[in-house]
Amino acid sequence: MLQQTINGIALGATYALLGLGVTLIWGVLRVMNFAFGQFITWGAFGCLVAIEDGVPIWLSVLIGMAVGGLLAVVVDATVIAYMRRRRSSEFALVVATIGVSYLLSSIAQDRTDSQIRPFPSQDFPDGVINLGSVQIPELQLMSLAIAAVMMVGLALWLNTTKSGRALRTVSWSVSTAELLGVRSRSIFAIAVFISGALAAIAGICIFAETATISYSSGDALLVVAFAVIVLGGMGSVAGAVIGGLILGLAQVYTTAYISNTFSQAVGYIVILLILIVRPSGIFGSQEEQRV
Amino acid sequence: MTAAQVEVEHLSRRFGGVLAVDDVSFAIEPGTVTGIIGPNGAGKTTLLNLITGFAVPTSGRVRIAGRDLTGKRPYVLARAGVARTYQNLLLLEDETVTENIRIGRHLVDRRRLRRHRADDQRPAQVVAGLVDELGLTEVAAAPVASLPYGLRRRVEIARALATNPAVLILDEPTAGMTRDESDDIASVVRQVRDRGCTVLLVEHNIRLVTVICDEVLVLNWGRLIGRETAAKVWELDAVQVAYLGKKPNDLGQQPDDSEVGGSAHSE
Amino acid sequence: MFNWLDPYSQFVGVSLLVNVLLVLSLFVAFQCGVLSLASVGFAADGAFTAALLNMKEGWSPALSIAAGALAAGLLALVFGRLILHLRGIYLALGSFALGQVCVLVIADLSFTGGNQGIIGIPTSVGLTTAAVVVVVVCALLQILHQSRTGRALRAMRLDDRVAAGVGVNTPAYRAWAFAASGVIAGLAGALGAFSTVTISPGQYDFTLLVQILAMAMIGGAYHWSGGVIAALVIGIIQQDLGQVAPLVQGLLYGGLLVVVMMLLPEGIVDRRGIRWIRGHLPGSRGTRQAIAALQSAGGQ
Repeated sequence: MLQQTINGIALGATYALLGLGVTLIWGVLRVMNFAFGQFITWGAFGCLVAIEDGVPIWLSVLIGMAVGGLLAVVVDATVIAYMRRRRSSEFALVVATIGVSYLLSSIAQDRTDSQIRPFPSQDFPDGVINLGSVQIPELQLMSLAIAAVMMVGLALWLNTTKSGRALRTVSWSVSTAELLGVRSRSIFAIAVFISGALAAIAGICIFAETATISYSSGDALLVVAFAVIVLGGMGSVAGAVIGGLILGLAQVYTTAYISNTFSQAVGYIVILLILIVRPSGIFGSQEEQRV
Repeated sequence: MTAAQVEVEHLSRRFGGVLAVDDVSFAIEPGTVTGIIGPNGAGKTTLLNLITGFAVPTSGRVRIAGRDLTGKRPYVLARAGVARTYQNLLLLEDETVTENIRIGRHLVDRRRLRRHRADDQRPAQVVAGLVDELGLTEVAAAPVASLPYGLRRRVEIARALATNPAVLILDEPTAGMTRDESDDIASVVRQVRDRGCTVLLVEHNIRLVTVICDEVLVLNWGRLIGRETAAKVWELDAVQVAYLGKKPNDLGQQPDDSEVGGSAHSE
Repeated sequence: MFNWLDPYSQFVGVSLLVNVLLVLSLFVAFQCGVLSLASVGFAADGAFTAALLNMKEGWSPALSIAAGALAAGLLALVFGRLILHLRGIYLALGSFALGQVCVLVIADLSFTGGNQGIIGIPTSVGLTTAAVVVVVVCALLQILHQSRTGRALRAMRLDDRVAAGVGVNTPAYRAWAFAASGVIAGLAGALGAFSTVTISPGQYDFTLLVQILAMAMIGGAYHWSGGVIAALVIGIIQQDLGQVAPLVQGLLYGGLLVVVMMLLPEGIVDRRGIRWIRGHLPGSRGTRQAIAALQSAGGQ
């Protein structure tokens, strides 16, 4: 049980990264971007290709993050920005991102010939640390460490730096921010880039553990990302972290104690339960609807 | 239409630390026209929202024709014969004037009526009648979004009338209208009252209120601070202080035309 | 009736009409503002219910299909109460999750055949049957469109509060629209099951959802004909392209979806477009002049 808990926490930390990526976008841009799953996939593939080309591991990871971030920025600057200018409805935007996701997924499917590729986990730490009755794979420690560093870094950035504070202002009110001299378009781009990079690093950590990757790997994680922010509350950073941990634990426990197929449904079930019971999530604000 | 009365008992609505409506009680007789006046922020629209189901009271009761409809959803109130217009206008922007009014017939258009419906009760006729009555004939086929403010208000009033209400609630119906336009609205309200409908209207135009209302309720800071016949409403100390900014020692004087923007005494 | 077509074309025709029904199931919800992405799951429920009733309980195909449709509708009615109070994209997300859970549950149960699904369903549905069903559904939708209920549903989509204010029981209408969406989706799934002989949970996947979503969005939420036309045209084009690589499919549906959402979010049967046409027909000059006069006189 303790073993599972530790596994769950490690997984949960990477899930928290996914949640942070989505919540960053939602908080600033009010977009539920279904293409996020593709940022995960493409970012991880970027890392994979770099590794296969002989690039040192740490640089490959950074390259992967850059790929994820850049892809996110491209999607945002083209489709999403256009629709925001046109003041499209939220639903139209979501549907458009579904289309983008499908498009990118098909390209990935084509380039990989629908094959499942091995993710080179041998390049990642593969030792095991023994702590009493518990075994902690070094890989999981690494994921946990990376996730922790990312979260702390994000929190510091948001709270101390000029651009980070600008982003918080923009997420509160775009017009106010612009009155204060914030160039909202560059802030949007920064936020989008970070979210894509977070998607990539989370994906890399998870795929390094499962040792496989395919064109559809990111889509499965997309559900997890949405479940995390629905659980934690849309737009809440603390919610993303806690939601991620809870979901990671839930996933690990269901795989261990119920069934493998059922664990696939965990994300969806969490989404449904939270939306039914408390749509605002743990840390979100209540919305009143009266009709 | 059955006779209706509106009864409100110790109605309160709290938002966080603020009491938007504070222990308001009144009863309105059927077939009367009652005005609700008060400064901005006095809680008038919140009160209307509580009566029409768009907000749930924190405490108190709302009764329509004796039925307790406290906290019921808007459509329940609508089915009880309560129709309203909205301070910020609620229209189907891309639809035409006619279509916007037509949707008001939803409750009336029940299938069983079809066989018994006399010719002048056919939806198209009724809607056309309302269009004419509210002076919208020329723009009946225009999308509402293209109309100026005063006409948009009239479309909303026509839609409310289309529901054959027993209680008609108007939230600042003459905002943004010229003197002639508001006189037109006044005569519409009189006709509606003559048909037996009970009218409640929130207004800032005191001249209009004194012209068409039988009684006036005065609200400030969420409380009901006065209730008076229309003719005597200016004599209320509370009104003088709230509307004319008079200091308590200056009370007792009638306002002149320059302060109110129109004659306070009318036929 | 369609015997002049070769059997393969008839088979393709049935799957085309099944897609039309799926698009109509999305439409029924969209027309009143319910952004439901659950139809794929309901289709799976209808398909598996019908197949199991026929193969394990010996029900006739017709009865099984009807039961499958009703079962899906019932599911929609029950679960609808839980999620229909949500607004906009939360509802979309919730309904998406609901649909996926339906499929995953089917995949996880042993008596539904697990991941393998069910094979050996009798081929009882031919092109004639499918066509009749589609025509009947369209006729019902047209009757709905012209009725007072249809008007109320369309008003709900434009502004919930307006509809509620004139007495429309919006929660009830939403629930029934969602249930109807479930019934039509279940019907589609059940018909498909008795045509394709095998069904597996994997076929009710995200790809299918994207395809029917694209067709439904192109068709628009105003009138059922938009989605039908979109489904038929796109389906026929896809057939003509033959066995297409996933890349081409992705570019077609994904790209189409993006372009349509960007340029024509209301779909091809666009209310504004119709009004523009009506506004420029002979006889409307009076209205246009009146508006112009008002706008230059008083401003907005």
